[in-house]
Amino acid sequence: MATTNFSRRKLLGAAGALWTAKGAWRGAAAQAPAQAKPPVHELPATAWNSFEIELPPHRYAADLLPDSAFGINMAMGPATSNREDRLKAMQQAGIKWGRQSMSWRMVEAEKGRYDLEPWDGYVDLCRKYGILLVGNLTGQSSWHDPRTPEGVEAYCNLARALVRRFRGRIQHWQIWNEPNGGSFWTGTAEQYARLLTAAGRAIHETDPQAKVLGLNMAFCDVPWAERLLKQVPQDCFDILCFHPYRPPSVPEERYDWWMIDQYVGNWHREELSENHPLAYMSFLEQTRELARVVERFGPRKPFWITEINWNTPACPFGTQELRQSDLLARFYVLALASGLVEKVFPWTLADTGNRQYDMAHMVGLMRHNLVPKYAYYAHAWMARMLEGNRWERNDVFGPDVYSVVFRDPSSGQRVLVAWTTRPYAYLRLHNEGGLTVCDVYGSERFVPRDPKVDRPVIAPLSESPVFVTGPGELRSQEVPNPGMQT
Amino acid sequence: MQREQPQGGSQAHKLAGTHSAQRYGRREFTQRMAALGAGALLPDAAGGQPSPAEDRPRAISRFRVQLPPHRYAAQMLPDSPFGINTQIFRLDAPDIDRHLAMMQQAGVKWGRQDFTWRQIETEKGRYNLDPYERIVAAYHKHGLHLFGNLAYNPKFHDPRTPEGVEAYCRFARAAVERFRGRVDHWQIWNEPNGGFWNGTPEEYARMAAAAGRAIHEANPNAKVLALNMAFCDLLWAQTVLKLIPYDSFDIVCYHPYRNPSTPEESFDWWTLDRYQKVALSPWHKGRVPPDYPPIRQSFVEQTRDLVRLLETYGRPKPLWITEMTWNALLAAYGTPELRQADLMVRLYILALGTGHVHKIFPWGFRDGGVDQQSGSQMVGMVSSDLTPHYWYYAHAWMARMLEGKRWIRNEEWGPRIWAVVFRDDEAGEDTVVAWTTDACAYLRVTNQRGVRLYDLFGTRREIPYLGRPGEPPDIELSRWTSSPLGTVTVPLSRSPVYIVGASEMRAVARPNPGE
Repeated sequence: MATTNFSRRKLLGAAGALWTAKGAWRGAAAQAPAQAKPPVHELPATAWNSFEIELPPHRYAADLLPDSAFGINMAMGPATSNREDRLKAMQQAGIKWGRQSMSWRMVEAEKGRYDLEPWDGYVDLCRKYGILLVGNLTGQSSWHDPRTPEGVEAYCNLARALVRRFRGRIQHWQIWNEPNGGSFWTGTAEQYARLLTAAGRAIHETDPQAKVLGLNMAFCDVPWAERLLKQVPQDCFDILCFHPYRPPSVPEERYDWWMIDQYVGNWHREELSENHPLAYMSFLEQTRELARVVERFGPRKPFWITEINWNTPACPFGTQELRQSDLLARFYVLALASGLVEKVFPWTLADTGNRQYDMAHMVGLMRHNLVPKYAYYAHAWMARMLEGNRWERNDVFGPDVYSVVFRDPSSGQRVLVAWTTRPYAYLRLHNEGGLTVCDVYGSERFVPRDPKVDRPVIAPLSESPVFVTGPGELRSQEVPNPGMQT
Repeated sequence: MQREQPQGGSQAHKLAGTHSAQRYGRREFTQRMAALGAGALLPDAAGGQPSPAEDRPRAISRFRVQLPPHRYAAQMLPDSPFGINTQIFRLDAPDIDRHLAMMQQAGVKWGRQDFTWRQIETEKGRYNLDPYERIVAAYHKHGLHLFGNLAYNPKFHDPRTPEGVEAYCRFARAAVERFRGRVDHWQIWNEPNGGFWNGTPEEYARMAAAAGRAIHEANPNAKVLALNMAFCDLLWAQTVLKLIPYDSFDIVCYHPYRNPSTPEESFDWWTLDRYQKVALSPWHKGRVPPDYPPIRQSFVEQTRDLVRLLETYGRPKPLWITEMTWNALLAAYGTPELRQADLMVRLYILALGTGHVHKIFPWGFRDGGVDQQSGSQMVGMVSSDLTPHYWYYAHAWMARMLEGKRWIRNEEWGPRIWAVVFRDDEAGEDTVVAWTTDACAYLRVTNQRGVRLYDLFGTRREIPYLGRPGEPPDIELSRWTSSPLGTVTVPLSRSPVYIVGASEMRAVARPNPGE
């Protein structure tokens, strides 16, 4: 039952919250007889791949990489029967961080007693597969109301118990999920501010090395963030998180369908007009707007995006599976190129059901039975291309052509990632010693340097990013027309 | 005079279709031949020392698609739209069987095969067609029809002269009679509006009229393919059409390359840069105005104007596109390989959706080498060593999805969303092929007994109909499931999807993502 509630309420991120809040789910679970359901991964297949993509070993597969940008929402727990298969799949995809929901209700099933035994082995298992965890302390308690001072104290006790138990193994703790609206937090902003202040302090006191993740908003909810930041001490949290879902709008687009439909049209229907400026911003414009507000309250904190995806159902707001690959890779690169975002945690590894027409099921990089979608491979290739690199510069950065350069500080080698939001565009690349152009599925093409002529490579771009590697600076410029002038 | 063409076929000039005439020359041909010598080191640019292996251009594909058997693989299907420029230039090449087997696996049913005049008539008046016996038999063995492209004169004939025309007609008769019943479609020259024909439109018209008559006489069942133009060259076509009897040919062919423009876009970069700015032939010089309409037309609009032109002479003839691709080179005018697959499938569907284009023959089956920057080499569905590109798999799935079905209507036909319907009478099913040229759009289709979705590479997803006939389906109500009233909302992208459902499935564009 807990699993059912979990999936119902969380799987859509912001959407799930909203829908539950309106009480509109007429879920089969509510009506179904109480009998054991098979695990999700044993449900019959409703989709079948014909393609396969060869993945070479990931050179960082066994390593714990605290600086890695590549996270995932675990969407499982110690009781998940195929957890090890999932962890293997994450490791193969190059995932290095997991956002782990540690449900208050499950951990404190008996008032004042914290059942942490099952989590010990689970946390170690994740680390064995090279995955560091963020603990997300969330979920309604059977005993406590975190909107009250007593509930806050109970939450702090829970946090202390967890932080103490996992000190040295989990050092990042998130204070609630999407407290800015929907059903995950039914209190006010002021009540969440009180919880964050107290829990942040409790966590820092218990483990001075620990980092506290605060705000954790559905949408890039700048007005709510401002309201919160006015009420909390600057040092009660270390990392600011948000969930900028925007299906089906592209990350670069100055129009956010999801925000118009949900944030403006539903959450704030009474007080906001359709002209709300946040809805007419690209993902990075929204992020910069948030950064401007945060900076007013002190030194800017790192941003982590602890949920994002373009869900792949055949229904309104859905996205094609092939397109999900492109959008996810572009989103990562834009986020890292912003200089504001450190990590990204897609929602999630695997579909939570097998209904191809259901937004709440079609959320994964893989199917419910752990058969990879295209985006799984695109993630795996992106991680192989970019892990160990740091963002260095943006040669071209919009409005519709992007060329972003990363550099490996140990080897000095660079990787350039480029795409266009137009149907086509061209990039002129300086070729200092041969260039390899690799697509999102790892197909590589090598162009040697002509020893006699300093001949650039004109790389055709599309909405699907390419990774370019080669010696030297990898300088690039947009070419305005396809041919004659080059 | 005809331009000198290298031994082994006309491929150096033909590899890129219209590209080649002005853009690619002997240097690239030399590279191509070197690359085809498997395992050999490429000569460096100066033709001197071979370059070390790590400096050679190369490509690695890590994407594979498991192709199910093609139900029509063994059958000869004269009505199939799925052709290819087979690029079998060396008739004694050792891997012809593998080459044809791969085309068969891709669902190709028709091949365009050069019958190279200069190789057949090496001695005046003697026609050595024996090597073609083996090729024709090999095509048939692999379920492929072919048509012969009769082109490229020997030095001792000039087809621009009356004597040359007579010589061409004798050569044509020899080929047509020899392969009567086995090859019944013959093309009169390649791209006579450009560099492959150094004569005037009048000279081509004279040859086409005579050769058309000769072919029809030699085989009354034969069909003659004429015009065969680079671009959708209406200026040249109307000049020729005025001069030849309308019954001397049966099928009109053209090569509407437009890279990198999309087929739907009302702008054609290739026609602007390679037709208008650079005269395609001496005849075109000064004749193409800056506001030449095809520059600002989509592929469908260009085709519509060609049909209108034909209508002024009689009943419009079937159109065959006997060359087309978006070359996947890493250079100016190039297209990423993933995008090439999308564009080619869209072109096929648009062409068939016009109701006028009967067959399409992409240029071509096989890359001419490994130089990733070469427009003449990066032309294939497969690499020079026969490794499939994305487009190969996309073609194979398109053929599996559509072969044996007939186009019945267009539910959406632009400007942003296309949904073209094909019917399988035997199965009682319709297949809607749909895409958008926007970043995203939606199509709502009726769900009467379940819907199957396939993407370009055959990934299949099934959406059941969960009700009883006449009753709404028994599924959870939510904005984020497809509608409970028997419809499925399918997200579209620039990559086409195949939506398969019961006959009379209807499809309506949903420009916005929500309901």
